Amino acid sequence: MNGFARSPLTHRSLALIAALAASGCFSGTKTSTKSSSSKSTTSTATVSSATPGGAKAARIIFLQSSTNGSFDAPSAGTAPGLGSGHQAVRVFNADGTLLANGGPTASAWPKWLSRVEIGVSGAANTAATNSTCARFADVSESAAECSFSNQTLVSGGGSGQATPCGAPAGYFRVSEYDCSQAAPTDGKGNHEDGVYIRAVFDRSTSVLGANENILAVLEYAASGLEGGPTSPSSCFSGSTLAPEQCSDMTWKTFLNKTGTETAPQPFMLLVPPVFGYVNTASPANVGTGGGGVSTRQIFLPLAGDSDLKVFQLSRIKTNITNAGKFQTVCAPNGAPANSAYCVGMVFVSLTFYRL
Amino acid sequence: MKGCPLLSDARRVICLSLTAIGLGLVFGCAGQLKTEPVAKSSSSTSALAIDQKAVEGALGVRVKFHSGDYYTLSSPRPDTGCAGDAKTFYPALDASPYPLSLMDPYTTVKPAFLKNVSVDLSDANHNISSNEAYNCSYGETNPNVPKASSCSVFDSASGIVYDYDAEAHVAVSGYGTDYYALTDAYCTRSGPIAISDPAVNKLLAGGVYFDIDRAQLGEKENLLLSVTHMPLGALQLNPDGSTIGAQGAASFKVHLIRTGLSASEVRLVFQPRYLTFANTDRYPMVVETLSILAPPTGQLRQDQIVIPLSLDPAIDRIRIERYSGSGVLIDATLYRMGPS
Repeated sequence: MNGFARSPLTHRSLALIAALAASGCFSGTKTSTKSSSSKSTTSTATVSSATPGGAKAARIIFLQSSTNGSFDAPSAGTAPGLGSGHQAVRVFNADGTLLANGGPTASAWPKWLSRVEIGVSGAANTAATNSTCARFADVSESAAECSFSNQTLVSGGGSGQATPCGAPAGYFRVSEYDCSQAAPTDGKGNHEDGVYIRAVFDRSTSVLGANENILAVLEYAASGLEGGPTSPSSCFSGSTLAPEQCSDMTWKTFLNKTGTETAPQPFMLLVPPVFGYVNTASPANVGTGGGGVSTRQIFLPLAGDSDLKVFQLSRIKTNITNAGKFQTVCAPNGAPANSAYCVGMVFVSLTFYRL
Repeated sequence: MKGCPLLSDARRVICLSLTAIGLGLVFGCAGQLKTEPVAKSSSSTSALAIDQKAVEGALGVRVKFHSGDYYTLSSPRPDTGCAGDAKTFYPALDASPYPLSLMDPYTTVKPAFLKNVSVDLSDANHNISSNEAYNCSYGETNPNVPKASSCSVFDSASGIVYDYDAEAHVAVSGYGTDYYALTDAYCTRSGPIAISDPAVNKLLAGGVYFDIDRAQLGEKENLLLSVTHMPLGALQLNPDGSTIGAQGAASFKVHLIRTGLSASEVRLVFQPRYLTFANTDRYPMVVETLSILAPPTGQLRQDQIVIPLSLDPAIDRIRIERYSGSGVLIDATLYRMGPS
């Protein structure tokens, strides 16, 4: 580990030598904490521990497909607002087989998952109007080219080498270069966002036990132009943490009660980090590219608060302008770039497990 | 000594010699400090009720690792004279802090399951006039105690390291974030392992302690820890602009420990506290390396770690330990996972 030859156990034994905790002035009397006279309670403390039946897992596949995906074709953008997103109409088991078709009203639909919707950019989406920003990748996107070496492509008269950087056809993706053509409204984590994934849970104890939590497993690719900042001070605005300043793009997750909270506190930072990045810092090096799908487990502690029911992943903003190397690398052939594997996100699936 | 028989002859000699010197890493002497105020029974009952009301039904609690939320060297906790303990706590999903506590006037209220949060301060034993918390440190007069350094501190624009050749502290740069920063380049000879190898004597210096009151949780209840941090890697820069390099890449570990200490007892421990708590015979690690905060790419990240308290009812501490390397800790949230 980090070049050290000795095992950690040996190091800790050495530390034991040095840490001779003599009695000194320590009273040795363990006094109880004054405020511990009564156990704190939660809103679920007295609820029955019975676990309702029904599906224990539900998978949303971010694919526009009537057989293998959860979504049908969307309209030209979705208006912001709870319930106004593009709805998932199919849900799958954890093993990939179909669980229910026909939306939340279908008899086999897991009742604890009220709905899942996504924000698709386009004319009707007042918070994200560029139609190529957040959408299901069309068949042409797999041929989208980038110049990860930050050089003009050969076809353009340069010496750069084209690298495929488009999302596979049918998957929900966000191409930040295209978003930058008409910058979406900065995400807040609530009903006003334009680019998001939102799941609503039914907290009725008849469908979801009061003691049950949810494990969300998100399968996705997150790509950036660059990796981490060279100095952590880049991530701060004065004494305030500002991840938007030190990352090409920022996504956050939120766990809300209504979904209409004015300024919800983020639950967890999703991006940064990115899984892959082009790395344009060394022009002499060929960029390693921004692809790669991985998973992130996000534990939702619903049992701790019976009012929590809206889980939302929101695009907050991007930190790079649509010029310079962003353009050369991610849009060498101009807009629309459809280069989600350059700077952007490609969503594959989101699975919820009842624990 | 209890720990000595575990070691080879060479290290046992070191152990016995330290015993002879009487290194005696001790707790703070309560007698030298102001005692905590004790409210009268009737008013304390109502104060307790008010405090509990403020956190009723709390999903969890968040702390930021910003210097403004802690007692510092220049402004230690009034009743203990010690630095490094948190004084401001936040609801898990709210940006505004909890109100001030009536039971403990030196902190905000917080859910009762969290006894205390504190950080190691490797510069707490710096003997300068501005260090009001010096008397709650191991001092710098004992040659076996590491000299003060900015290895694990609340980051500012400047810091200190000790030049053992010149036998004096020298000024160094900081990142200037005001958050809790662990800078490997400043940790030489700062760790609890007093041997000459710099690759070893810089280890185990720095970190955070979350002290838990198990009586306030369900018998089988676990917690979820969410940590925002920046584990710095080989390509990132030290505050002075030099490259951190592979040897300085972050290696931060999460352990579960049994201490048996009350909140007030923890707050009286001398700084830097890793010197005391390195005694794993007395403070055993029930779970060593539950998780590693990684990878050290220099990217800001937030990670969730399930804390399986149900493994052992005596676990009462979650420790984020700087094993080695550099990084910045931003905040942490402890969520209850429901009564069991």
